[in-house]
Amino acid sequence: MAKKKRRNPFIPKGDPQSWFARGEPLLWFNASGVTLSLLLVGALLYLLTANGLAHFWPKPLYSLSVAATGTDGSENESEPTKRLYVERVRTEVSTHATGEQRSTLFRRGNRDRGDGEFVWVNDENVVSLSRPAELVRVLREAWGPAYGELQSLETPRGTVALSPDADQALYEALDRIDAVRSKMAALENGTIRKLNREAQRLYQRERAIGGDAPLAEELGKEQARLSAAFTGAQRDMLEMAQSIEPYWLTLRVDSGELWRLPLASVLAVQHPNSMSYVEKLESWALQLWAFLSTAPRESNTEGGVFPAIVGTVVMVLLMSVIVAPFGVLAAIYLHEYAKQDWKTRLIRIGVNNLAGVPSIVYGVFGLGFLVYVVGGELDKLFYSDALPSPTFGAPGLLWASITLALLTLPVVIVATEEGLARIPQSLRDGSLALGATRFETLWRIIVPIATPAMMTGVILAIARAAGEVAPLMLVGVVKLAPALPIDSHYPYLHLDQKFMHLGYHVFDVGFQSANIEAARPLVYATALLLVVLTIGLNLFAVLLRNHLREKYKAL
Amino acid sequence: MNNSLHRGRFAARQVLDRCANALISAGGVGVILSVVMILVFLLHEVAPLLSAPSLTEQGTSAVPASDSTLLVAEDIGSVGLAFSESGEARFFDLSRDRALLTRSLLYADASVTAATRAALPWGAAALGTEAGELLLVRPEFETTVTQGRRELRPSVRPIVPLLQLAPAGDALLRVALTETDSELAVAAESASGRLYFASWQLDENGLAGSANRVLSLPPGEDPGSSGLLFVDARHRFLVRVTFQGNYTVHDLAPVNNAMPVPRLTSGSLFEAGEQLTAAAVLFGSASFVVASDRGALLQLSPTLQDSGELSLQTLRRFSVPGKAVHHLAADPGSRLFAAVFDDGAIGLFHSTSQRQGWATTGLATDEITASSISNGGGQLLLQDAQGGVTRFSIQAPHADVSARSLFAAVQYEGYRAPIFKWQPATAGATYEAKLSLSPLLWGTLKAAFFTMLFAIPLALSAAIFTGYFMASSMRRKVKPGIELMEAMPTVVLGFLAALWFAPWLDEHLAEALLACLLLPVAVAVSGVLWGLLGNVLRPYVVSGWEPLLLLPVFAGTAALAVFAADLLEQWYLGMSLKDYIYQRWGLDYAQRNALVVGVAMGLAVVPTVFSIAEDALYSVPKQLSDGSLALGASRWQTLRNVVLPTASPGIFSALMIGLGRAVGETMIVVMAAGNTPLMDSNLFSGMRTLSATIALEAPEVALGSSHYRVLIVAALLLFLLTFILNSAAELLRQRLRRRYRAL
Repeated sequence: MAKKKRRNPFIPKGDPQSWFARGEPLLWFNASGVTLSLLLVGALLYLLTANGLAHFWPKPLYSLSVAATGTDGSENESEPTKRLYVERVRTEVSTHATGEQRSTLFRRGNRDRGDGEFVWVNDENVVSLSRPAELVRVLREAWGPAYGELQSLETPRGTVALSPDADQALYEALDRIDAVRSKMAALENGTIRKLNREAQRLYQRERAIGGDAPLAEELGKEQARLSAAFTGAQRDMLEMAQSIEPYWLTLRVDSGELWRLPLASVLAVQHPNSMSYVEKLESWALQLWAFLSTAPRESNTEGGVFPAIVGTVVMVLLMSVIVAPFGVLAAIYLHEYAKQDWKTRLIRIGVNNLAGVPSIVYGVFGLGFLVYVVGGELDKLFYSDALPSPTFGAPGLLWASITLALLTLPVVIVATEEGLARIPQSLRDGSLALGATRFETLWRIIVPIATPAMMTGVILAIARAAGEVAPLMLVGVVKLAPALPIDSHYPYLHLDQKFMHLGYHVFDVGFQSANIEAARPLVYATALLLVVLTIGLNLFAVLLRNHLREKYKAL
Repeated sequence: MNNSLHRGRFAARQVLDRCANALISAGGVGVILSVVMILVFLLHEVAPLLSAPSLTEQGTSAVPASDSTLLVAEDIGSVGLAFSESGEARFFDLSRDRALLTRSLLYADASVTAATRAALPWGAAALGTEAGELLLVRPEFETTVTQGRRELRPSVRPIVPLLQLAPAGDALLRVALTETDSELAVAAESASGRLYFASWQLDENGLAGSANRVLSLPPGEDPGSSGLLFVDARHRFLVRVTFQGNYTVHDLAPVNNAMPVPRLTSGSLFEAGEQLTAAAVLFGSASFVVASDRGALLQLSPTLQDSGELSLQTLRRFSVPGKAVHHLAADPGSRLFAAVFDDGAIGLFHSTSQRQGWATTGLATDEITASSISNGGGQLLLQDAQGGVTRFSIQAPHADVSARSLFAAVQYEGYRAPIFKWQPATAGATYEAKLSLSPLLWGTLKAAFFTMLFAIPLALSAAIFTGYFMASSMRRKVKPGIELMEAMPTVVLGFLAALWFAPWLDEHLAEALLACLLLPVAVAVSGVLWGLLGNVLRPYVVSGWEPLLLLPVFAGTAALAVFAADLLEQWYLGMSLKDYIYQRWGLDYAQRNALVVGVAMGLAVVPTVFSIAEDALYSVPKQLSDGSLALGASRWQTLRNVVLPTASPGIFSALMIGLGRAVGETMIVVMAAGNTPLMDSNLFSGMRTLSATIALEAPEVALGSSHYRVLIVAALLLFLLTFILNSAAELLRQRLRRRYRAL
């Protein structure tokens, strides 16, 4: 009897040339992997972009009538409907045994009135929804936005009634207040901060001179001058603050009550329902700019991310200054100088391995070794007079940069080695044959050709470092830094200072803020900024690499 | 001349070359060494955990007099305190061998018959007298610095005035004292066998007013022969153990004037003839240790069973060579205690970790009359019958951690059975830290498992199609598109997972799960349909663009899933799928769960796996697949029989690296995993991983503490896990390279 032939179970019976027999349907599963991956990438980017950019768009305000329901769900006869001035946040659908229920989250604003800033409304209870043109959104320094109708404006020269057609007085007053506010900020950041620093220096000198009488007299004079200047500056501040105090804005809120708001804390007033598209675009751009250029307010849930941008950029640049020379040095050693034997192979495996070591392990190393051991020793040697309060013995900018430099070292080494490997051996041989030394060959021939590859490595390292958060949580990032790590005051770059970071900002605001609903749009915007930064840097590196590959193909 | 100039320049060039050579070599080796430092540092920080507790003898001092009944030592061990039988408190300086201060606490001809101290740093001490009175005092050491010299000024402060606990003349033979932040309780047994209990509220100065309640309980068996009295920290149980090993546990909670006799349970700890030799209350007063003359050493704790019955739970038996224990001394600041054996050996034991350390001394240990461990746990004092005090210094900085406590189930105080638990936070000063890495390791592996479950099919199928089937014009756009995702900061993925995807999935669980089930079916159906209709449509479509054709299929599947979910939940189940899962299988649904983590971390891993696997597939030499196709095999057959086997090392390497990333990823799990250290395999519950634990706890942990070192062990584990995975991947890749070179 003939032996039964083993049949490949993946090939169906029948005509071997048929569509199915050739296994084509299986191929579709693979195709679906590509489709799904791309869809997920697209959905992710869309989600971020839409939510991140929409935050600054002046959203319409609604006047919402809600049927008041009792606790049992029945309609309350005595108070049939309730009017609310709201902004729509999102709708959720929940499935119950009785069917689907749609409910919408609305933002009522007016946090300081204490009626609840956000409200969930069952869609069945919505009686009417309109967009009255006279509704305004008042953006404020504290307590989030206020919604209502403009009623009147109190100025030192009297009260002006406001209506949608006659609100010129309001904008003039806002401009005036804005001017005063920026003058106050300039005074505080310039003169007062400078005086503070001088006072601090004076105090240190006073401690240093001890009992020297003539010097002490001189210092006393200096001190008197400083305190006079300080009093003057404070008086100016107070005067300016008082000059904007008598401005009050009265709003009619949804319950019909009148509400007086100090105009000094108002940043902008929008009529989102009657704005034209161009006006909305202008407002969007202004808010986006404010987001990028101002400091956060309200425990990070409002305002901008400027300090986080500065912190991220300074840390990453410092890191690249550290990682670039060392990474390149190591790569050149490995590829050009070390003997290619099992030892270099082992080192190469080690370097590749390090790229896969979890970033949090680097964080532990940074905290345990750099901060506590190296930083602690530095403090004992150079900053012993400040002890026990640590200078470098606590997490800070320098340690964060070094930790991330270690983390990104393999990236630079691998990219640089790749660049070196692309350089034909004939170039080296030619140079050496003409009598150049090894270093001259390296410096004149190899390095110029490999420079772009090194740059690619550094850019990739920057992109990786900019998005890395976990190790930073251990070695120097904070929720709110009192000052920028870089400023105009000696030594300009404050290596021992803690700093803010975009990625940590996302984590902190998204997870540790009390008012998550109010903060959510801001987190989307911050996340988008971070993604644009890292993906942009990556794209740049990829394009650079592709460009170079083309350029040196001929060699 | 020209020649010499030339020669000079040549020499300079040579010097420069040599300098550069040295610099580059030094720099390169330095960089590589600095990286090795990470491993060295981790090992160095972990090493102290390995050292066993040890004892070294420090010397003997002649003070105080021989009649002392209780020893207390100051935190650096240089000052000791002994309470004498005549009611004196004697402070003495051990290092300088002299008495410091003696104060009489009682009246002229008083006689102390029992003494004990609370198992707390700076705890109170209780003395019982022959006349049935009770004295509660607190030893205090005030540190003053005079002319740069640190001086300790000791004093003793009464907590309550002398209290007549038993009737006059009924001597108190045994006392127990339990102190917490705000309460103090005393139990005493008189010569007549009656048991007394009293408790006080403490003010912020550690002083007490009038007693909250005073109880008097009738005598038990063998009146007056108890070897140990114990009151737990909540003042719920009173335990009495006789020298024969018979115990009674009284439930004090329901006792009041109307019902003066508490319910009790009794039993025996030892075999007949075995004698109790020593006992000590452990730190926190939740449990105590007893020892017998046959070498039994037990940790016991009174508990209520599930049925409400009283019992004395044996938390653990320490394995000691069957030698008689003569004396026990417990550390008032940790769960460490010392056992002094008859033959001169001293053992140090930690109850939680079961770490042991041994020392042998030349002391006649069977003559020890009193012992104490100092408040800081640094010194052990033993007093012999002649009144000499021998000091030992204790080195046990990390006795609370052992391999067993890190990885095996541990019987903690207050639990019925050994458990795996990670709960290092100290709820109170006497909290028993639960440092088990097992739940964290489990959480790490669980997160990695669900991540790979999501990522492998997606990444590999995408890699296979892109690397082998896809039209090259499309590949040039698709590959960078997916790889770009690698640059996506994981903190953003974690944020989206936790604040967008997790709430969405909470609402749309049925839709999501149905879509996962329907999608393969829909793809298969569309493949079949394409096969049937293919002859008509195929001429219009270039091979390799199939992914685009699938877009409408996906949209249709999504719509179908929404419709089917409605049908399922409303008509078939009659409840939401979450409720059904809970009722049917008892699985709780946590919003931040393994499914969310799997998808989010999967997205972070897909680009890595895709990129490496695709490279491996794409670099399979073209002549191989061309040959196969030319011999009549179909595209699929060529893939299955030629391309995949050739590229398999590269694909495995991609999976290893992906797994390594999933194991070490931090921000996504910190944000989306809920961070509860559970040990279940439920898809709908959260977990806490090693990396998340480090990120959340390391910034606040005290440098050098056991918790800090255990976190470093966690980092070391992560390092080793990823190191093994990555090395394996690297070896596989090198094999692949050799294979391609051979072809």
